[in-house]
Amino acid sequence: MNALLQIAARIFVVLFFVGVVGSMVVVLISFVEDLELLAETDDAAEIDRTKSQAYS
Amino acid sequence: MSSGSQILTPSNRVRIVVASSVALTFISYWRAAAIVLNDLGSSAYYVGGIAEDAFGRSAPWFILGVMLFSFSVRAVYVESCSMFVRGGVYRVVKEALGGTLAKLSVSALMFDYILTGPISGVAAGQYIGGLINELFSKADAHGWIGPGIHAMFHGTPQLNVNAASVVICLAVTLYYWWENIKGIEESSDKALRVMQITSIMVVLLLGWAVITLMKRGGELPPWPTPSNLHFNETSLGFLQHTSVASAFGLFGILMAFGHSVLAMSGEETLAQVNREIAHPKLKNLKRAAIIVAIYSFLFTGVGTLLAVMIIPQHVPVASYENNLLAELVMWFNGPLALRLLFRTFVVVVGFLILSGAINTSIIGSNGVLNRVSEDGVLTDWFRKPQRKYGTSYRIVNLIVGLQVITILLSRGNVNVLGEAYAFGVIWSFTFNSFAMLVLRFKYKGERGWKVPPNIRVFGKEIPVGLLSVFMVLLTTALVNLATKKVATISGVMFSAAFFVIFTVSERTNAKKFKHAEKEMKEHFQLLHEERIEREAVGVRPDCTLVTVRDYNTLLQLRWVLQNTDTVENDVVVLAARLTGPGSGEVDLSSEQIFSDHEQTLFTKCVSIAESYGKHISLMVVPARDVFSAIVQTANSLGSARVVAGLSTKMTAEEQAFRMGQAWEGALPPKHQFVFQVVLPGPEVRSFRIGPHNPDLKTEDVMLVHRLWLDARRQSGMEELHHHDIVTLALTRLASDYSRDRQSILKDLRGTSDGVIGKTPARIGPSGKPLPNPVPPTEPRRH
Repeated sequence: MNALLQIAARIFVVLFFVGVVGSMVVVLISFVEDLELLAETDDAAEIDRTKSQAYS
Repeated sequence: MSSGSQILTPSNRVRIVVASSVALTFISYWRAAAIVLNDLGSSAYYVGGIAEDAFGRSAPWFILGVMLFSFSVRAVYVESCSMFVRGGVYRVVKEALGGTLAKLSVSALMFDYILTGPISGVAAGQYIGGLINELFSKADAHGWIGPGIHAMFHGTPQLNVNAASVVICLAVTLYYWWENIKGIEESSDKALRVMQITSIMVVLLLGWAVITLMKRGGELPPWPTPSNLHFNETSLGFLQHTSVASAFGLFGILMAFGHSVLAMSGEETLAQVNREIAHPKLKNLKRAAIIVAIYSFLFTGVGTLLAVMIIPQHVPVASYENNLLAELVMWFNGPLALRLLFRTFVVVVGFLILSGAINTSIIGSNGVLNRVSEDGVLTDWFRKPQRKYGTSYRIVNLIVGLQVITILLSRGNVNVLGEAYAFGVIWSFTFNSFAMLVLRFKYKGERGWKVPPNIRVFGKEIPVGLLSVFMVLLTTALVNLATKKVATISGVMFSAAFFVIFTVSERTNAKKFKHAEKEMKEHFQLLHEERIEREAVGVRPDCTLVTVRDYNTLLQLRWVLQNTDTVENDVVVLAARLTGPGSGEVDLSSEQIFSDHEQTLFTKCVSIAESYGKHISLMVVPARDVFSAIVQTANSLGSARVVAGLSTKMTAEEQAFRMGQAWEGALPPKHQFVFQVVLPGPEVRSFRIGPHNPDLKTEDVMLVHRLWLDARRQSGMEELHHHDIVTLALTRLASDYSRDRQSILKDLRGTSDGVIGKTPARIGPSGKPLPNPVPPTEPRRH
């Protein structure tokens, strides 16, 4: 039983830390993306879209 | 036009228009963030103490880690909400993994919701009790407590904090039970106000803590390495006598993470508020989510870190584990009186936010159970409306009953509740992320947003980010099963009990629905419409809208039918089906909206219409706010008047005021209508809703005329009209009002009857409102 627990614990540790590294990438990417969104106003976004349409 | 007066045969059934869109009032992302933070932010008050008690002084690092990780859990919720506007755990899991796992995930979510109330209430009680005891101690130290009181208490008077916590928690829970029975409205205004006060407290708390550290210095907590983790017997759970416990190494970090995970409880509220967020929905959801994440990182994460840095190591954890923020304040640099004053502020804010969390837990559980009930997983018995208030009182009673039992069993111990609480939190997150992962492969359609990063291997997209989040959640949930004895036993028992109830109810319902469906098909024809449109209902403009709820009080319908020629003026009977907050998670089908209750109600309406030999149209709309639903329907149908019965909770004037408020909040295009309340007698009170020409008193008209006559005599005033007098008077009043508001309001109070903005309409002999002398929408003539 103890041996099984040890194996399970090792698998969990690997999965957990791999997951943590991946999650930190999620945090970094989405945080930057969302901060930009927070700073942007809807009007500005609308104007930008209109401008890009006008120039395209 | 549909008819209610025919003989009911399968080929000639009564048509009922069932609108599927819930009448919602949309909120900004700030308000949405405030609602979520009322739940999520409250954990700052207790999670630090619970985690430190479980594995030692390195707890703040793990709480910071959990708060950072919550950014990625937030991303999973954003993706699920971008796929399903009503994207809560039940809907998502059902879509991906089927009904059984959906029921299981909802059972775990229910465990989370049910425990949110007791843990918040008990924590609030601990803070209040701790403050009272501190005040007694300080007063005694200054010799302000007399020898008589000393003798009575055998020393300094001290409250039994645990017992006081139970009493306070029970009192607040019962208070919100009654409010929910009456049908409390979840107010984003209140949530925003509480968060504004909380923000002031957080800024002061963090600022003062930083100043203290700069003046006095402080030590960082021990780093989150295995050697710095000191688990007690309780926090080892089932692993207590295993070799894993003695040589846990990196596994210990995983265990400690599991003990800190309840710091992010409340994240699930994001899915609840999503449907109410204003356009552009996805952008605003992401904005709300990032505000929530940053705020809770600072409040819960940094707050706990500063607390451990400032509170000296020699102070035993047991003396402050349930009062972490209060204890932190007592170690700040500054005069004692100021610290005590600030501690009181911290406790008051704590009481506001924690008691708000109790309410959120009742509303949330009610919403979830209503949703599964609407999906046929709970029998209609649970949803029977309360006779007087129309709320799902049986569900509220069940939730509060379970919460009261939990409070009593906990005996005011926050740690026990915290232990159990983590079960529901982690498993509902795990189910949600697993379902989202499955949907990445199962559902190939467009999504509003995807959790990054996603890499392509041989043309196949691998959801690396989503998979990573799921791996962390799953491993934490599984480890918690082993290390959290109380949580595992109570959580499994609770979830199993709910799962059995759901399964049995679903089977009972399936049989019942077959019979009910057959019966309903014989009498009514349901026409499913996404939006309310006049053409769909088949009525002409200026129709009369009659609102109905209780089939025992349909006086208003009788009065309308008695006084209306339905050949000239169509009558639409409207039943607004109240859906609980969070009911946005599940798209309601026509049959779900049109339940047994509506069937009985409309059968009675049709029989009344038949007794008068008149035609009526029937309509049912799901709504969060009845008044908003009525206004939206009246606008869509172009109704000239809306007729309602007298509310059991409000006077006719209050009903009219609420209707006026809903009208102001409605989106254009909107038009004015007359609102009539039929009182027993019958006596009818009429109000004009929306801007309208006031009914001027004769003396006012005379005054305008006299002023006009006098001014007209002056040279150069040949072109002066009566309306110029009124314009000048109003312009001057507006100017005075902006300068001296109070004085004008005082004068107005003296002349008003108290109902501002609504004057009785002129009603003709047939009971119909007379048209306005000048249409309110007509442009002013100069």
